[in-house]
Amino acid sequence: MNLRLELTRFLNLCFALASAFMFWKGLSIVTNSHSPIVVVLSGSMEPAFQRGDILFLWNRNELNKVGDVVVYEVDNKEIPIVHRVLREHVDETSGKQLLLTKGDNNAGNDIPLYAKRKIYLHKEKDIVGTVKGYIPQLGYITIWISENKYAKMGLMGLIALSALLSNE
Amino acid sequence: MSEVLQEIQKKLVFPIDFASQRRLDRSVYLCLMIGTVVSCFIGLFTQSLFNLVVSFGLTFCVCLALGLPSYPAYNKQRLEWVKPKISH
Amino acid sequence: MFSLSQRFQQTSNQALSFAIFAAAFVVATFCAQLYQDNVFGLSSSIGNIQPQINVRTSRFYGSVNGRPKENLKISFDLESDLTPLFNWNTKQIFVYLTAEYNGLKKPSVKSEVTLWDSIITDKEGAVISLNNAKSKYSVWDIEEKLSDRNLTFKLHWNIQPWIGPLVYGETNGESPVTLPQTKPKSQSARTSKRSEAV
Repeated sequence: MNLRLELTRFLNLCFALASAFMFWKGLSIVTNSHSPIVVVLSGSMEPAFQRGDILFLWNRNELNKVGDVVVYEVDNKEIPIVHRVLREHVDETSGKQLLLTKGDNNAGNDIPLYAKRKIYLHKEKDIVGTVKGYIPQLGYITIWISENKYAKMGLMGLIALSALLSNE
Repeated sequence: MSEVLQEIQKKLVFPIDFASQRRLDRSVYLCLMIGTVVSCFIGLFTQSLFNLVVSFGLTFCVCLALGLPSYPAYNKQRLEWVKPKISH
Repeated sequence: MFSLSQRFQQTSNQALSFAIFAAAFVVATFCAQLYQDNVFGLSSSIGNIQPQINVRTSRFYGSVNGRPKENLKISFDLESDLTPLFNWNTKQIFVYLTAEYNGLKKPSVKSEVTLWDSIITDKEGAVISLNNAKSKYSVWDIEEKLSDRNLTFKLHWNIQPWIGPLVYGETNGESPVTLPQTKPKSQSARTSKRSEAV
């Protein structure tokens, strides 16, 4: 067991992880959003977005327009929600914008989902980003891994096996 | 433990000789390029994205079938290692 | 390219690059086809708008702390032909009818509300021809009263592609409507509206 060799291999692994992290954070800075790529988790925007679609967000717009698909987070819940803006009210002097959203596949608007007693979302505080483009179904792997415990163990086993059997 | 792992590693190599490596590299690249262009045009003229995805998948499978298994034809040229000379 | 795993990695990486190229080709032809068909100059005709104002006091109709809030519903006619928007990369089209207006107490507040929307999934359903359709949503404003406003109705569309960017657009043909003033007592406003409709 050559300690230096193992440490070198570990360092290569750290390089790979660090560059992935740099890419993610750099993209967050460019798009001004703390989560620039999201995977659709619920079916509330069908048939537009299915579970497992990857969405690219952009948050450098000052105001949202009606019809934009936005990702927002409610204060005490950590799951981001992808819905479409139904109404907007903007005060041009202060630049503050209030939004009401609704999922395409839902019957009613999102007021039951908002924080207690609130009937609007604030653009600067609650919106994570506006959806600009998407790739279909590629993110289903992440949903499958996080929801299916056999998949998680299987993936860990596969990674461990390939690390042991590889020559580099 | 590490000897067992190294034995398994050696078994899993499936080598091919160097001349066919060069040929395989070139032909896989050509096959993918032509396959992509053809599937783009198939999709465009049938106006169906599904056709494009299916024909691209077929191209990928053909390339894998071409390149992955080490056919005996790829192993024709054996390397001649220089024999060590022991001089007194 | 010596070992099996190296050959597999090499082939997969090249295939991934070509797949990205194919996706870019799809997006490029999609945008080119849209510009060729002049989709940003589509027109629509919105007419025969009949507004109706109700007063509600529930949180789900916009009321804050139980104060009464005026809600708007309309019935309208709509004609539009959206078939140029469909090509091989179009998954669905989301059409929505919005009304734009300014605030009364604070004229610097601009608002836009959606009264009706619909999802079109294929080319056959792209010709919209509605008569006396009802609005889907009961709409309220941040201020308590909606009466006596000038609304401008427009029809917007949004293309959802199979891959690539979302495309938004607006059809030509806006329709301005002025909401009538309601009398101070909400009861008499409703009865007077009924007599006008008859």
